[in-house]
Amino acid sequence: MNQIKEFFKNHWLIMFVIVFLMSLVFIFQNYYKQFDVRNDFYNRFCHFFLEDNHKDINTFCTNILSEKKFQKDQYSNLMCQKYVQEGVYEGAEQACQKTVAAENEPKDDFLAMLGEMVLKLGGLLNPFSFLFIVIPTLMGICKILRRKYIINSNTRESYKDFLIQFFKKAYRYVWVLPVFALFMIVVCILSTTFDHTFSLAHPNNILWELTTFQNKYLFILGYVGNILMYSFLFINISLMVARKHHNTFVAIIVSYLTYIGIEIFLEVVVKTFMYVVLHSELGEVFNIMNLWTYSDSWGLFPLLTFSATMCILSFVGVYFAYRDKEALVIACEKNN
Amino acid sequence: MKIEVKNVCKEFKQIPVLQDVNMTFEDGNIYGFEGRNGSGKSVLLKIICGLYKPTSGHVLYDGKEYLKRSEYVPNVRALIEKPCFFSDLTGLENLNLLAKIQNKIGKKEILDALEAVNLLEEKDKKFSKYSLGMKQKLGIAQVIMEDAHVLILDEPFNGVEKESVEKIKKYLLKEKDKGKIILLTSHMESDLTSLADKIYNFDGGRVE
Repeated sequence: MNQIKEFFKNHWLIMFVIVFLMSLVFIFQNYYKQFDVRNDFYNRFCHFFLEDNHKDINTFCTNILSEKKFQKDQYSNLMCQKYVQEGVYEGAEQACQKTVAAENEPKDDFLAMLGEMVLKLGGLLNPFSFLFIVIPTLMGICKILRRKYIINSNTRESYKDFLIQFFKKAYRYVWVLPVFALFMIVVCILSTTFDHTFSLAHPNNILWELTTFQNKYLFILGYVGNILMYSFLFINISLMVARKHHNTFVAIIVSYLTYIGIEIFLEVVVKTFMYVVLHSELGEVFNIMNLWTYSDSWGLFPLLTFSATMCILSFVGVYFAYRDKEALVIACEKNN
Repeated sequence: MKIEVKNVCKEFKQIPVLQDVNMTFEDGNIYGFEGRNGSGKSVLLKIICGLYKPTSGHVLYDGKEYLKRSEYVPNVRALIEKPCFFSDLTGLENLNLLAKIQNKIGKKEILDALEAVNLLEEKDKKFSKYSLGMKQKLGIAQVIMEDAHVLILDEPFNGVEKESVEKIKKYLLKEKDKGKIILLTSHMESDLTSLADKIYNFDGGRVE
């Protein structure tokens, strides 16, 4: 049992990578299966809508959903339910003309696939990315604080040198999330093309505006850079919590609660203030849990400015938390 | 080397712990600190080794003041209160880790230090498996292994068996003859009287 614990402790990252890769493979396969069915449904709907003068949506839906391919497809069932209850959406004719025109264009484009991956994995990555890097970080730094290593190192090196080694250990895992982001991007690049004609015709397929993707290198750099800034933010939150709580388990719980607390504050207080007082919906940008979605609803500048600001503020917080050596020594003595 | 403690005061949350402490420590001497719990002995040792800063006053090492600039005080090693090591490492691994900071010594010096404190046979045991006495001995080993000029030992003989205590005392007397400064606290008067050239008595943060 101890050997298993030790193995997991030392190789958790590799195991996580394996699980993550398996998830990606599953999503990739699922993407192709669902993507084809979805596109088939939408093409058939558009042909029906443009060609059938009576536009009897009930009959169309009854017929199409009787086919095995579409029977259990969530998208097809949902769209039919919507069309029957609410009617076909405004602008359908124009959209369908584009769709039929792009029917034979290559369907697998980079933005569609990346968006699909982000959507599918977002439920796991967005709320739990924080823990993926904070847990191993805290396992390392809480051990140093709990064992009062600073007391022995104090007569052998300056406090500045102690902090350099301490922070090196803390930021050891800052690369994990950006590398995962790069991996997703590389899989999409290798599996698809940058020809987004089909996605233009199916705007619901993609998470981002094509204007955001004008320069693909900048998009990738921005996406990965944004994840990197959040990684630093997460580790800095854990550093500030660890300054007070040297027990690893307690520090993990308090760090996560702090993270959620900050998110609630941004969503409830800041967003409300901006909406009510400043009459601005820019508060939508103030979100530290949506890092993988990289939402460009308000443009990338506000998004990246927000990430950078939070990152910088967190570094300021870490500076104030660790600048006083005596206070840290006393905290270590009190915690044991 | 000369260490001068000049008018040192220390307060924690406005509660005075040390008041106007004046002392001078010179080469080739062992200085003993005695007093009740909470009289300020450990606090003074922590100030001298640089863990704490004095609220007022100065600590000079050959006329230089390190503490105000938060630099570490060179050539000083200390065992303050309970020894602190990593539980999942062995005694030898813990000492190796500390020795690597300055890279002044090799395995031989570490083993010599373990031998001097009668801990050589247990060097490959994990620190978590050590008894109280063994932990203390490892703490003393980390103080003596790098041949520092100033050795600070706060209650070093707690839980240590008589045979090892005598061996360590002989070692400390040899170090004193080499011209080192040794600061020592102990609740056992016999430890201080058998080792110290001068004994300071602490009472309520003041020194007699």
